[in-house]
Amino acid sequence: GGGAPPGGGGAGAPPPRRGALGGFGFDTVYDLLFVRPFAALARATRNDPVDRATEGTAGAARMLHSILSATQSGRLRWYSATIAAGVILILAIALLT
Amino acid sequence: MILLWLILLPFLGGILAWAGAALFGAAFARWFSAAVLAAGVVLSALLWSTAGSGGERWIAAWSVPWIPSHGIALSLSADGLSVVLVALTYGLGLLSVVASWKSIERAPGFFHFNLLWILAGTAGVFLATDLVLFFFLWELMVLPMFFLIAVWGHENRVYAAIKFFIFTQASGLLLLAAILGLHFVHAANTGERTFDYEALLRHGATGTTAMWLMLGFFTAFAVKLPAFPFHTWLADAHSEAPTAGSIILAGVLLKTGAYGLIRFVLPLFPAEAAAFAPVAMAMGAAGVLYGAMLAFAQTDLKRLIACSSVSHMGFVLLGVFALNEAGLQGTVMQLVCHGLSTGGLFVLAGLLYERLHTRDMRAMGGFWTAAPRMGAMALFFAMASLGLPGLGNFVAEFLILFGTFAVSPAAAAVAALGLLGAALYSLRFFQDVFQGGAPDEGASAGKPADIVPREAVVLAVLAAGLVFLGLYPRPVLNLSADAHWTVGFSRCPAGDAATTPQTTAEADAPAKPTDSPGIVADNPVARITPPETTP
Repeated sequence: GGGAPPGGGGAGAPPPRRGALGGFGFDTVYDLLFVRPFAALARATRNDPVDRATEGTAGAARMLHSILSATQSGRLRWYSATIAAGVILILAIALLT
Repeated sequence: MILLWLILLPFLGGILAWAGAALFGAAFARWFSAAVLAAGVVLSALLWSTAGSGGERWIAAWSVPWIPSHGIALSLSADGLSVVLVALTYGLGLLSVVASWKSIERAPGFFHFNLLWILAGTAGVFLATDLVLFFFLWELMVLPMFFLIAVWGHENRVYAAIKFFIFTQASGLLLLAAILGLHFVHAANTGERTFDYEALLRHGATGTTAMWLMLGFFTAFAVKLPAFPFHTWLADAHSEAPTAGSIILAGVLLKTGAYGLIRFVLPLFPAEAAAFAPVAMAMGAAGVLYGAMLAFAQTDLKRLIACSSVSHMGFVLLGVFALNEAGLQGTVMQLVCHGLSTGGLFVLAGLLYERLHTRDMRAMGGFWTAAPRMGAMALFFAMASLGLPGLGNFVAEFLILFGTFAVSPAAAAVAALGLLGAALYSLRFFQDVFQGGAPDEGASAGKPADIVPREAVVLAVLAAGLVFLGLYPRPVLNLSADAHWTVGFSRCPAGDAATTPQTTAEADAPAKPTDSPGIVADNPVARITPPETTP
């Protein structure tokens, strides 16, 4: 929040009185130094940026799901090719180590 | 035996309430649950009255073998800390049943079953001194709470329930790994296979092994507490849960995390905890500020209260890891007073929701004229939450800041800013809802009716507790001081100091364990005696 501070009262009064009426501008200073930055920060973090990390893990799981489920195409030649590739990989590991 | 009944009562009562609701209707489930929990309150009061007689470690203990081949037993023990928290569990449980007397229309039998089983698990966690039993009861709390949120929650309940479940399960897995690790390390060092708490205190693990085990326990409890940055499940779970669920979550379930830190992390790994304390205190101070800022920015009333819990639990983390008497005393006070004050705020949010069917504060305003008694109560709990002197929360936060200052003035200074934040969000809540003008015709949710006697009783009991503890915190402070042998601040028997190589001597604020009951003399912070009246 923080509306306009009640400064600038007594425009027609002599200088010392004018300053006293306006609280010597303290409200304006506080408003600029504390109220506005805090309100802006609070508004920016309203939805908890830390929670984005949590949401990120959920998003990653969803992405993995869509990638892996795309391989479940029902096409036999892809399945057999994957099995063949796996056999070659295992044999390669067995022979080369 | 009284300890066993403290768990069996809600455990069996839950089954009977569910079965009885099917046979005799919803009213039976409500009256029966209330009666069971009232009996629990009486039992915990009985236990409380037997406390403090001698210098024994446990006020009461009970144990039978369960799986002897693996050293697993059904063992329950209560010291001052357990008794305070068990009493809080039953008291808030009873109030939450009364507070949601009229608001549960869907499956009331199953609702009360879940509620009682959560309380059975929680009371058990506070009493179990066998780590397998502890873990079993720790998990027992989670499932019924999942149902409570997922079935009786608000519009976004399934998301919140699953999030809650994943967070607690993941942290539960860490806890299980840490418990098993501790068991095997202990078995390797001593040749004895046991899960008994007091035996495991002499586990003999050192170096990185002990550090990893400590981190396992710490993380599991920090998620439950919740400590920044593990807090993100809390805002969703609290705001989507039904009123009773929110009260139990904030008032009791979070306390199991703090209890775990005091009961397990500090006594099992004193040196590691001391080494880790600066990190934990930074997490605590960050949580205090971050929670307060989040709370200030919320427009959802229950979300505001939930975020304020993050802030208050940051104080708990600070108090625990200040590693001195004042910090620990303040922590226990904070656990009780946060339960009462946040419980009161959630009751109020529930009352407003029942009347207006919204939690959006932008649709509220100027309710003081329509519901002055509710407004007065709201003002009271807002003041309690911001730590007004004279109420329990002030004593708690003062002691925590006092203990923290002795160790780290910087952390204390940062956390003290949290008090300012608490004033901001508490007053904003009160202003938005009860003061000012009503919002525009289209956006307004209407005017609430004032509170009825049943609701007034619930709020008055919570308020009376806060005033009592604010003016006379001794009962809680005395009782919890009995429990400090576990952390070696005061009543640590000499035999233990000899067998456990790492005592708190290495802590930042050294507090040497002594034989004599009472307070260590050469530590300026430990010399604090509990204030008898408001400081």
